[in-house]
Amino acid sequence: MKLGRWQLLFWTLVVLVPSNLYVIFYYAPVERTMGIVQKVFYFHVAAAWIGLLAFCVVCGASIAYLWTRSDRVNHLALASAEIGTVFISGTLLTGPLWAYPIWNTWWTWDPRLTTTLVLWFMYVAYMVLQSGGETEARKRLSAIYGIIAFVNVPLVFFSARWWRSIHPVVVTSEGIGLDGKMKAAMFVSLAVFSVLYTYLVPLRMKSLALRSKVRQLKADLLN
Amino acid sequence: MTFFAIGYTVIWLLLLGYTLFIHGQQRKLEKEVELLQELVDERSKGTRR
Repeated sequence: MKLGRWQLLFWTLVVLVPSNLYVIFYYAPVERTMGIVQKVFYFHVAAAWIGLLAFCVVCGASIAYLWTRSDRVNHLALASAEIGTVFISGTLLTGPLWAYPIWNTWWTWDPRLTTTLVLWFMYVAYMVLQSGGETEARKRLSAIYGIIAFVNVPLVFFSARWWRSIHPVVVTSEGIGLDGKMKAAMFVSLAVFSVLYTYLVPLRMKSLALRSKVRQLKADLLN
Repeated sequence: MTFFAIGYTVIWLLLLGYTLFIHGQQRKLEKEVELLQELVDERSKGTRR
């Protein structure tokens, strides 16, 4: 039996997700000062990194769209923005779960938190812009917006290094500040989110292409 | 620890449900495309006659 690309990715996820849960909860040690709440970190950081990567893809696809005017590239940008926003939503929701016991507050207007929230709003706005119809002008405008919105991605990444932030920085110029087993759990989480992104983006692209085809056929019938 | 593990598992199950939902929606859209394509083809044959 030959497995298709999607089935292969799906079954990889079926194997990776429980392995990830095992590695996070039973293999990686409980952090000495923060305790069990530190486990949020494996979901929070992996979702944030892949979310930011998804927005890099939006920027790349937006540039490619202005170059080629291909609907497929526009669908890639939109699908990647959607999945990226879902991941960043996960980051914004899991952050307070960690912040409350550690900082004694659910939310603070820290540079990292604020830039991430602004980023989330920017990509929600991008999706609203894309949802307004499939005209050439709107797609072009969305592509330009997709490029401009990307400016916030490096700001989010470097905010904790450039400004006075209380947000922890895991990756520094000296390496990753984690114990060996914690590092392994972190990499497994990153792998899971990467596979999930690779699985979900083509899936959403196909839905967008089908919806666009339905719209086009309906227009053909009415004319 | 158990609560946390259950929380994580629930999130992943929700995500799995969401992907199955997308697959279901796609199947519906594929059927709709087929039907509309047939209608368009029939109409173009009719106008040629």
